[in-house]
Amino acid sequence: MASVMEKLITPLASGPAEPPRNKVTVVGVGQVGMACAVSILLRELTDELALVDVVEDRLKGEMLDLQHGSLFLKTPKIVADKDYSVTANSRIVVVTAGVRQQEGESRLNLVQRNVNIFKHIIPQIVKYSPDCTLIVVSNPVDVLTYVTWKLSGLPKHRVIGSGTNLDSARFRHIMAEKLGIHSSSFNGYILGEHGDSSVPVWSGANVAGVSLQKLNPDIGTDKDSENWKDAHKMVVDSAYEVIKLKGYTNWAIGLSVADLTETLVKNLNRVHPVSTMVKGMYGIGEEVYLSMPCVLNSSGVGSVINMTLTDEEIAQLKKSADTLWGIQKDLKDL
Amino acid sequence: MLVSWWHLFLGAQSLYRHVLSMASVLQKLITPLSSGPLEPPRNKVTVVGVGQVGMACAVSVLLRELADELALVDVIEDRLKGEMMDLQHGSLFLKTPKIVSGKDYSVTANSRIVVVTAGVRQQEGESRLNLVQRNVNIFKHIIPQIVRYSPDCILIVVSNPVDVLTYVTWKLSGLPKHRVIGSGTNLDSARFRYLMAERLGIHPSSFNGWILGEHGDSSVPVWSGTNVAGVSLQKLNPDIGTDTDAENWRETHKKVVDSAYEVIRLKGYTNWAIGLSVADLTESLMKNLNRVHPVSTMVKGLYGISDEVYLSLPCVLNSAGVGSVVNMSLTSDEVSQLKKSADMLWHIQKDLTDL
Repeated sequence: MASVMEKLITPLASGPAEPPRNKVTVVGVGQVGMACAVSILLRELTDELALVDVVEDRLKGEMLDLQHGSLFLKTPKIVADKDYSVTANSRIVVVTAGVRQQEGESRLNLVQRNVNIFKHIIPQIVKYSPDCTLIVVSNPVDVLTYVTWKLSGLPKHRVIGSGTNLDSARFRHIMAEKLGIHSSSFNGYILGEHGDSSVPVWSGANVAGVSLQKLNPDIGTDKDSENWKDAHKMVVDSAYEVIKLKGYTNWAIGLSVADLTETLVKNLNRVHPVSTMVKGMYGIGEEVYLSMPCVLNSSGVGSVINMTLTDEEIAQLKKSADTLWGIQKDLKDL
Repeated sequence: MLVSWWHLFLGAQSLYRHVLSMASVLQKLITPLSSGPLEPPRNKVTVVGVGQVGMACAVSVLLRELADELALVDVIEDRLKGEMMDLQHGSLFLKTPKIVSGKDYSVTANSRIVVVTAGVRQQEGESRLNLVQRNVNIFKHIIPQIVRYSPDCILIVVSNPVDVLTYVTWKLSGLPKHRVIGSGTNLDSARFRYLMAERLGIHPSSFNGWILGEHGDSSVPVWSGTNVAGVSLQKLNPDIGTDTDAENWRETHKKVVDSAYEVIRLKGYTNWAIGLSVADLTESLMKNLNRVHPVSTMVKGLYGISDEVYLSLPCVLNSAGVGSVVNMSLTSDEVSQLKKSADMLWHIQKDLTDL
């Protein structure tokens, strides 16, 4: 009366199942979380994917829908639960959980609400994956990356904010379109605070090493007759525009998180503009997170590139740092 | 006299330098070489409908790097533009250099593959026939436009009920039958392989098993063909798939039928699995692979079926579309199940107006 399984298959290697080596957890299965998950799956970056959320039905539904696509994927184990034990032994944990700003709500109030949520999430993540690298995506990302770092007790090189990785990708897309080339062939960084006051480093913008600023010294200023500054403005506005049109953004941020994940998992030492702890740089005296070009590898932020910034760019960074600290100092229970 | 000519010269030189510095960054940076019109796309994919299923198809096609141009079409213009922009913002991480969208089908011109996910879902208490007629009316606008702008394309129909709508699409398009495919039981089979493989502790790609016929409740699991490394499961357990099977393998097929309903109940819709399965079909068509997939094709003349209906059979897919159909060895019970589905589908189709 042997089962089909027993007749068909003879086990060879005994002992417990091998633990995962490249496990990724995504916390939060909203549109952003699922876009991150699908991008990571289709990029074949992980041997195990864990999903966590508080809404149990939706969580299970998303897990099943991904599992049903297993035939077409190279990630053999996809798990999900409200309980963080499913996240154990993750290399990378992507945090997309949190609440969005309500109409008329102050940023400080939003941040405090998200702090309360993160107080439940972050210690649990670290409990089950003490060696992980955390990528924080939830907004306002720079403040929440600081919050995550404080709540996690992890060294600063292992807590990253998605920061201006997406802003820079949008910038490169918009600039490259104007020049008729692929975005990967246009080099340009947006640094600092993710959002309205991000800093486009015009001095570094180049194609094949040819500096655009050398070709047009007015680039990025108000007196530029070509109005290149508008490209940065389009980057700042683009999130709002997509939200207005379709209700949220998810694909671009998902792809950018998969890009960061690839560098971390494969120990590539690629440079990405991500949010990192910048106290001590550019005269910043507070513990704040801002986006800088970081060399990422399997230990997290391996090092930071020292940018050659103009006085004005440095002043913008300092101003952002002050704004962020203004919010952070009033947060309770960190 | 000399002084004024000299001044004229200096003036001209200064004007020349000024004009030169008036050249744009683009002109200074880049010198065009090949002139002439832009190359048309060679591997263009269009997705009609940017709901959850359409976008999952689009993202899977993009991340699989199958297309050199992607076009999106829908009637809701805001959402359509938002989805296009969100994908374009990810261009840095993709190898599809052109992503376009529009309500007007001219954006779809010269597509190799067109994926149709548009249509309405069943309202509570609505008969299938009513749903089908509503979708026929929508397809009457969509399909002729698609064919007008991409007369050589292959159509993949995803919208449900997929077998009927693939028939409708074929009729409205005027295309030869080998160029109109329904996503059919490609997803059912993928779910079956996943669930069976889980029970056996192996990867779904190592479990071979086909679900054919009608997509949905009355799909037909071909138990005689199920195998791992060529070892037939039915030879190991002759009761497999029957009510007398002590291991109750039949339950796995039931789970496949129920799984769509379960996911819809839990998260409101399904999209990832269908998106991945459509990308899988697209890959075979684009790359002329001659891989075999269970997809919905016109089966009149096969298995004693005499009506023009679409049912899923194992089809060899290549760049012409359905290159050929694999002749399955089916039990008489399985053949009668197919015929029963065919009758039911024809019963719905014969009452459709304006095809």
